[in-house]
Amino acid sequence: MSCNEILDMLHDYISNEVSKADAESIHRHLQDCPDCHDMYTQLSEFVTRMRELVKVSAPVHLHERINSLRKADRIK
Amino acid sequence: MNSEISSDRKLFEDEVIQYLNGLYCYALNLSRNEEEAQDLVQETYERALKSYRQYRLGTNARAWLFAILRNTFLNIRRQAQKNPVKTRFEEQEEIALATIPVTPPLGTDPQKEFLRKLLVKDIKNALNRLPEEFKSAVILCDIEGFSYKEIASVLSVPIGTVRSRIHRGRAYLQKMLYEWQKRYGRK
Repeated sequence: MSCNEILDMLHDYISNEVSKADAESIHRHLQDCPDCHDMYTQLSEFVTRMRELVKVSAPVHLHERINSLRKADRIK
Repeated sequence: MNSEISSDRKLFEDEVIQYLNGLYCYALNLSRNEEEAQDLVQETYERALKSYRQYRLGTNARAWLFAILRNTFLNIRRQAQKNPVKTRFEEQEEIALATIPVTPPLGTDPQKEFLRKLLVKDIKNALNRLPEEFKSAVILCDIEGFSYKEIASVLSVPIGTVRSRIHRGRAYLQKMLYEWQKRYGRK
């Protein structure tokens, strides 16, 4: 695969949306090509950091609200 | 009160209830308001529980719930006519989205600095500047871990559209955040 082909597929590779054969080709290319590896690292670290910062849990009282709703719906 | 429920009903409830945290996170990013996000999640569960008899075991309950939540949000927004037409600014943002490069030109060290300085409020501000359909695609993929096929079902669009929205959405966020850091020089 050429660098352009790799860059085209980088987003899908990070999303685990490429075939096993393509994933292996991309993996091999990234080990040998520092420029593509840099692009891959930038994107994957950005996605990981975004996930860490944005992920939140529902407050306890919302869990309670939904549990009450679940019980109330059973007796309708 | 009748506390006895069928095993199918129990399976259904246990299945849908486990997605509460993800639904709340998505609702909060869509609405940007804690109270509205909680109401959206409640409305989603009310609709889901009412649809129990139409629910077939084996259906992708998670994608189904996220689709209910998003449709509820969009309906409320349409009814309230808070966003009746796109503003000139939003149109310009969409045009900008179509022309951005894949990623900003960073080396390894500047990248580390860039990530270290990122703050929750910056990411949220950047996400909120994305058009809803791009924001939803990025959140469902990168925060919730949905596959492209599942996202296509939540958003009711082809997989190719999902792919394009994720690529462009991520690139736009990276570029915007990087430029904010350069402009405001956060230490």
